[in-house]
Amino acid sequence: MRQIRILLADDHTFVRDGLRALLERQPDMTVVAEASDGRECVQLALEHLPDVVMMDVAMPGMNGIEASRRVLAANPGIGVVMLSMHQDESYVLRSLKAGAKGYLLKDSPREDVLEAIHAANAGRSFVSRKISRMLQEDYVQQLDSKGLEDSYELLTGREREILQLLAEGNANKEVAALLNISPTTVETHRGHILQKLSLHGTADLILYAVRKRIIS
Amino acid sequence: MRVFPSRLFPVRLFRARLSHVRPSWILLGGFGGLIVFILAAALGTVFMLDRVSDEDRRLRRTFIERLGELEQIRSEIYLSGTYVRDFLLSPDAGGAQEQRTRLSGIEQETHTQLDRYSRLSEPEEAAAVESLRGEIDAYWQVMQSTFDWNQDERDERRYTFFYEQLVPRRTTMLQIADQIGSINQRGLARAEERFGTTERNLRWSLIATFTVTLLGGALLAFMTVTLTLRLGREVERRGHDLQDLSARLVRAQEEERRMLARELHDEVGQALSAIMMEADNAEVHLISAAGAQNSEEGRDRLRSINTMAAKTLNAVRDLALLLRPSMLDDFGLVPALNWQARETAKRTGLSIRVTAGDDCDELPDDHKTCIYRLAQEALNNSARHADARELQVTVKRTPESVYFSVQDDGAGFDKRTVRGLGLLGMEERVRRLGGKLKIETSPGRGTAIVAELPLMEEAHAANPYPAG
Repeated sequence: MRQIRILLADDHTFVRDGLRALLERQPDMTVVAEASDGRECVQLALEHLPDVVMMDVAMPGMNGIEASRRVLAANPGIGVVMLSMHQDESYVLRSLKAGAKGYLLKDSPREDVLEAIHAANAGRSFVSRKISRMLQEDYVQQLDSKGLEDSYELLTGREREILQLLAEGNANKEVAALLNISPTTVETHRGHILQKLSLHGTADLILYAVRKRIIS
Repeated sequence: MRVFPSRLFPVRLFRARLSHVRPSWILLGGFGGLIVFILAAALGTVFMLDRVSDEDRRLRRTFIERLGELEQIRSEIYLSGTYVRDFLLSPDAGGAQEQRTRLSGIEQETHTQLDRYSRLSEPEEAAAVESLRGEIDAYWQVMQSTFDWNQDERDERRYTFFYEQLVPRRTTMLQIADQIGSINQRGLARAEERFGTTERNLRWSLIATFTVTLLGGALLAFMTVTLTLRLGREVERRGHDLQDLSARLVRAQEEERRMLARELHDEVGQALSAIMMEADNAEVHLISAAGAQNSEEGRDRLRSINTMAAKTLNAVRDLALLLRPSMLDDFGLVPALNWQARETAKRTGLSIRVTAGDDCDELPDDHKTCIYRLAQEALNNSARHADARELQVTVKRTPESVYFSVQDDGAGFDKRTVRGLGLLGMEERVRRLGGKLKIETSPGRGTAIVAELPLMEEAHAANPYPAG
């Protein structure tokens, strides 16, 4: 069985040690390198071409978000999972905008960690359950307090289908293949969805999907 | 050349001492001294004027008195001549006796007058007075010799005596008396000259007094003005110092919060999450080492460690955010405002809308901190006191300034009576950046907190004593 090759990036040795201990126990995972700051991580990602990078958000020198952007600019195929102490959506949104597939809180249970790695390896999105729960609650509460009409109702069935597939981390081409339509059509649908929901990009779209519990 | 330190020492000591004296005491002493000096000068002048006029009166009186005495002597000498002539011409002895008595009376009187005059006389008259006295004594001795004459002798000698003895002597005496008179006159002239000098002295002393008073007054006025200006500058400087200090305090407090929040988040938080992970790992290890049935107790302990660490981690995270939200430094103002709005909404059920342009994230550190703290305070106020339902937070940026407002639909308050509410702190933060804070409210009409902060150059120009 081919193992998932993982690069750990965190400035705290004990965090890396703990993670390594967890991951090394998994038969389908192996840690290929450890970086202690953003620059080193970018360097090691180029050298080792890992499948997944576990990236701390707050690192000295270059933070994890900027490092993700650079890693993905060089190798878009790498699945980046952010590891963070921050629960606030601004961190989630910026991480997703930088191209990260997963966003994990550092106090997530190990099942979440493993699932996030698997999802990122498969090109799917994953957000810590605690965060998705929080985002959903916020969303409901905001809808309640503002008395707004739920814009999701405006979407057609096809659009909802495409929204879910995109939010799960699929590219336009993959969605087109799955639904047996042309990528251009997917792009048109995507444009409509963003417009109807007043969203600005894929990262927004993923967050929206998390809030609406369209994805976990 | 060697300078002895002991010579310098008193000067230094004096200066040191003077600098310890409070300026108010110097001024008090100066003005007091000036007033005492003016009083003394006025009293001295009055006293001197009195003395001059007294002296003047006395001299004139003496002069007139002496003139009178001299006149008396002169007339008595004339009178005595007449009596002697009458006596010599008197035909009978009884008449002669009567004349003799009269003459001795006059003699007595001339002596008395002369004594009195010599007492009043000036020193330079003494010689003349003495020669007059001699002449008078001699005159009376010659007179006396005629008293013993009998009738025949009188008849025989009277004319020779009268023209050869009596008249020349009388003329001499009168000449001496005139001499004395002119000496007396000269004395008066001299006294008047003395007065002139005294008066000139008086004038000079008055001029000197006025000059000293004027100079002293001018010096004091100069000192007072200098001191007042210095005090004014001092007050202004202290005011600036105070502003500077409060700015530094705000900045230091913010810096400390930032540091603490980071430390909590990055060090304590990471350590806690590592503990959780290690507990997790240990649990797995325990299962594989001891077998599922024997590890129940140990696994419970490890789970409990995990739970405690998770709780502590949450507390630490909340504490760090409360101190200073990390988004403010990591992403900028708008994410921090959004977070604050969401947190407040979650806590209070308020509906809070944040409207801000993307260009508001990249503000100078002081500006975003200021706006964030204003928002925090305003949201808290609205939630706690205003009984509001909806809140609108707005941030707008122009090239010159940032505009910020928080508007609620709550109870409002009376600006004249209500202070507190952290309004002072808000004003302080805004003023420090050279901005304006407006609070628009009245009871029942909601509250709007509006701030406008100048950007860049303006902000620096408004703070003449930049911290650090």
